[in-house]
Amino acid sequence: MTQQIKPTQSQKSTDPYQDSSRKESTHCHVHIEPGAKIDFVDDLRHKYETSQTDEKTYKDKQLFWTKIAAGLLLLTAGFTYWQGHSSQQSADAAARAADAAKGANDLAQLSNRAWLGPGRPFVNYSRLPKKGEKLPLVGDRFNVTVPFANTGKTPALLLGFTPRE
Amino acid sequence: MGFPDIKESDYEQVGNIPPDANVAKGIFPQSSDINIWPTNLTKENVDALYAPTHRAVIFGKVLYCDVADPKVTHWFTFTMFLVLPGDPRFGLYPKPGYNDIGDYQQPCHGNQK
Repeated sequence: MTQQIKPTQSQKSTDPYQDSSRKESTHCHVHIEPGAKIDFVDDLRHKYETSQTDEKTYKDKQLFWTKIAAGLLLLTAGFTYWQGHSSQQSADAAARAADAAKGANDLAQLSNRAWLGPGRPFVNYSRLPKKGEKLPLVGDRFNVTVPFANTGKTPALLLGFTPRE
Repeated sequence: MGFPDIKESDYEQVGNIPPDANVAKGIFPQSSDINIWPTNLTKENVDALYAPTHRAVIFGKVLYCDVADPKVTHWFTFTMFLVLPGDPRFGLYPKPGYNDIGDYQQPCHGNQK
């Protein structure tokens, strides 16, 4: 703002044109004396400082919430990783359990199934040997018996048998 | 020489065998189409049986199922030296596949050969 200062009587100017200036006292003269403050500069500075403060506050808040968001994101990522790791562990444990169950089932089947096996074959002649006679002789006939034993725990359903000699 | 091939006509039905039970299957030439010396022994047969360079063996293949797993048909092969009376020797024919066991992944319905 400008200040209009009227000269007083005591304020005598050394200006040689003073008289002429007085003569034209109707004209408006503005003198800015040393030490006078210009309000609009302060106002601008104040506005600038306020703006800076506001902006800093805003940026601080933004930084704060960015940090919070980053922390939450990190937390989420960690939780996701942990969840995935746990899921993998669960899947591994389930696979191991399934393997163990299959092994137990196989073992149970092996334990309970029928097990057939042959024994020593017997040779039977069509006639009894005479005293001091050693069979077989020319003209004799014989057959063979093969015993089978089921050493399992369940019945064996014998389907086919192919004896050959 | 591997284990001989078994034809469907070679098989003979036997029956069921309960646990801890034995069944003695006789090999009678008259009761089967498997002809084992269908005629009386000749002199060559007898000489071969007693010759130290010859050993008679009996072999076969058995198919069976069990109630524990009806989707599988078990089988085993056997090959044993035929021991004549008075001969203390006994043993299995020591070649791979001649005394073997295995499973066919086929249901047990009586037609596996």
